[in-house]
Amino acid sequence: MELTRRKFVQFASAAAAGLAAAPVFTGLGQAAVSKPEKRARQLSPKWTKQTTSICAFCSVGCGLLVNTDIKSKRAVNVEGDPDHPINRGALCAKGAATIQMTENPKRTTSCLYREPYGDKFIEKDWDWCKKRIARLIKDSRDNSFEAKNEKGQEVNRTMGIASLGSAALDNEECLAMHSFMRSLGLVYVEHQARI
Amino acid sequence: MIEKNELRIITSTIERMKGKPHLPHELVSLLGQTALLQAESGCGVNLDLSKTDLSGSPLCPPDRLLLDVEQFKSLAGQILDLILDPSVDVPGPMAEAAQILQTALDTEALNLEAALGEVQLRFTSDQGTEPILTAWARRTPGAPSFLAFIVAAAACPSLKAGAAALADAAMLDQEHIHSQGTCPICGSLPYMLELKGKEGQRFAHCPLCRHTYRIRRLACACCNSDDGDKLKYFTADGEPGYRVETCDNCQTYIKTIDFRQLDREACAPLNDLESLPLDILAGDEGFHRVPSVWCI
Repeated sequence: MELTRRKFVQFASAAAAGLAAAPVFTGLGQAAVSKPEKRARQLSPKWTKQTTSICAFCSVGCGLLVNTDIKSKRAVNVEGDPDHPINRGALCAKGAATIQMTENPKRTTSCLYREPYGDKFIEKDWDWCKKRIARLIKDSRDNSFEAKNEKGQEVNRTMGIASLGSAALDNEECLAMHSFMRSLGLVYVEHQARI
Repeated sequence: MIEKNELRIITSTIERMKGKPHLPHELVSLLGQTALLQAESGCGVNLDLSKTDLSGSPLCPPDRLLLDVEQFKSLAGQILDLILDPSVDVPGPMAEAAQILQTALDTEALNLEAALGEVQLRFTSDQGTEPILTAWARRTPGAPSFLAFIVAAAACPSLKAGAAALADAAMLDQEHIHSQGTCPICGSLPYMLELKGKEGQRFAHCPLCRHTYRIRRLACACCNSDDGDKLKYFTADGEPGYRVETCDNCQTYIKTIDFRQLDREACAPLNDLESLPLDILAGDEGFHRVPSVWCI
């Protein structure tokens, strides 16, 4: 029989469809599976599914395989994708710890604030924090704002604030952040991956 | 002479399996000793590849795989002798089946090569056209797969050596990721998978020619579906180093050896038996699988 590619695929698919549901390792006597059956009843299988993802820590874009628990919908394991052309399964230390972005019991789940000269963190709500941050940015910006430089040229800038972006930000987040920083008059807009 | 590394892996796997009381010890002993016999016989295979066409895909259909008939019959005899040895503890129905088979071979009432032909097609084509194996299953109802076990085990070293020679001749790249789950040498569906290396490359084990080849990590090894919603996996705390991959598309499952976190080396034919409780769990969920390499 000449086996063309099409025939080969059909052949393989037909084979998959024709597999019998016969229990394995019983062909030399049914007694062989009595003990393993008891053992199987003592096990509790943990079901997961796998999805591909891309590491968001830097611009290299390494491929990830994420195992997710089917019941809890939480990630249980993240590893490099060996089939990915960029990283071929390898990950840097940060990439290997990607799962901790969502699954880490030590991760804080509320805003903590330490007062000037204080020695303890105090839990604050988001509204309070946003107002506090906005107030400090506005004060710094107003105090350091320069409408004109030494030559009298119009610059409308602030040299009192700098922005340090993250490689974990995507394009859209970077655009929004960059636009906001420039609107305040920031000159020092940098990125952590270049430092 | 047996390759030392292969011998060491088989022996250590058998020892580990003997320490697991839930495994059938007669089967562990029989399959372990058969694996050792196969490893011993692997060096004495004599094949002629000169007339083999290397342009096909797969390289060689299962029924045309090269076979050293003399070595095949010799090993079949050795395995039968092993089973008939009174000092070896084998399941009762097997000893009876071995007597019947020995008589048939002595009187030339059975053609082992014809029986092997049926076994070879078992991994790729629809079942139901196995007149010799079906007739023998009726003759040995206590051990219905006895003949299939003997011919598959006896042909293994020859088919394995033939596949290795074909892979060399065709210069198959071990790192090449095959888009299909089927064996590039003989077209059979894999019976076990293995994650190798720190990066977890996914390799498939062919049950017929024992060729090992790399396949995609995220696709069903049987129907090639890569729909993530239909591919699910399970592990069990009491069975470390193994996980079961299931596919809702073709309703099959396949076990994966993952010893990357353990101080172990894989011996897929024996690991298949070692992880037997997982087969029972997968069967309870309604999934089915490719027959084991032992055809039992």
